[in-house]
Amino acid sequence: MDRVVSAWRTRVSRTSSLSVCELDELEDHLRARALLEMEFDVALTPQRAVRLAAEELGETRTLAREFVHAGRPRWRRLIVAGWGLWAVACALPLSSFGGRTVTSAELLRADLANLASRGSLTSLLGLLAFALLNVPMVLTLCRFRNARPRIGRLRMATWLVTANALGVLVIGSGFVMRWLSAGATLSDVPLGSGWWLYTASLACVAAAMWMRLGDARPLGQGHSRKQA
Amino acid sequence: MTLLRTPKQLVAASSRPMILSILAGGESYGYEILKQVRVLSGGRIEWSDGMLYPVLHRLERDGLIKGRWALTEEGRRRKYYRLTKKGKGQMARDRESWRAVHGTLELLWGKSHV
Repeated sequence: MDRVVSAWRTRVSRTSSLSVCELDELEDHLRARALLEMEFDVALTPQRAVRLAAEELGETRTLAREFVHAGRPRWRRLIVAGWGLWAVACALPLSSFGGRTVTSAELLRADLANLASRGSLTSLLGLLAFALLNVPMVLTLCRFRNARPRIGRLRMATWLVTANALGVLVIGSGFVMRWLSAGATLSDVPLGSGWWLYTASLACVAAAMWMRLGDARPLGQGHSRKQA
Repeated sequence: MTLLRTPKQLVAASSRPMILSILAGGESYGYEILKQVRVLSGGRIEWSDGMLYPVLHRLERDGLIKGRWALTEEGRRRKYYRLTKKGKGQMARDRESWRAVHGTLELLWGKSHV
């Protein structure tokens, strides 16, 4: 029986996106059901009993979809909020030098225009920095759309966006410390509300990603499966 | 003997009060819940095995029931569900609604037989 169930599990985990916990629950059901089938018909082989029980469970891919619909996790709202903050941050002043403020959207537009007209290296670097600072966010969006991403990729996206959030926070704090140590006041720091909102949006998305990783990670990871 | 099976829509609509009421009697797990429904209904309410788990997860998501993992005697993992406080409140409301439906229909059928 163990061998047959284990084969069922391997096949289902390959063909569907069911999580380890969901598979554990279904496996428990499958065993109970197969045993019942064998009680009813003593001539039934374990293979046949498991097959009958699996048929009763239905198409596992449909089941996996049902499971996704059944769980509307908390991280989903947090990630949407993070992206919302990010969008607002784009429209707010990123930096303010001598009373002149510039938003990241304006900065991006100017860099693109400079690069197109003059092939400016500074603009290219600016664009690269922009891309670098936003790639982790885009990655979280890909993971967001994917209902059941691979845990390795999810972990990578989570770490990237966390590093991104911490990096931005360190840069921002560095600016504040430098200006304050030079005797300036907090209002003199050349970072606008857009920067801080951008930091908050990254922190929000990073928190959501950690929550999601926690959801995706199987419960009781230390547990070893007993195999006959 | 052929049993008159309950229509799908009715089965789906009654799944929540049914699960909540079963869990009101104590902690249970998927297969046991299915078995209980089958036995109590005398086989007239047949839940498909696959349908139950998404429903359980939905109820858990809504905070009406709470799941916990435990090891069975054979050392396998099993998810047990129990009713939450919120679930108890929902069960009471469901009971009122179903009683209203049931009572009305009983009256109507009682009249038609007179």
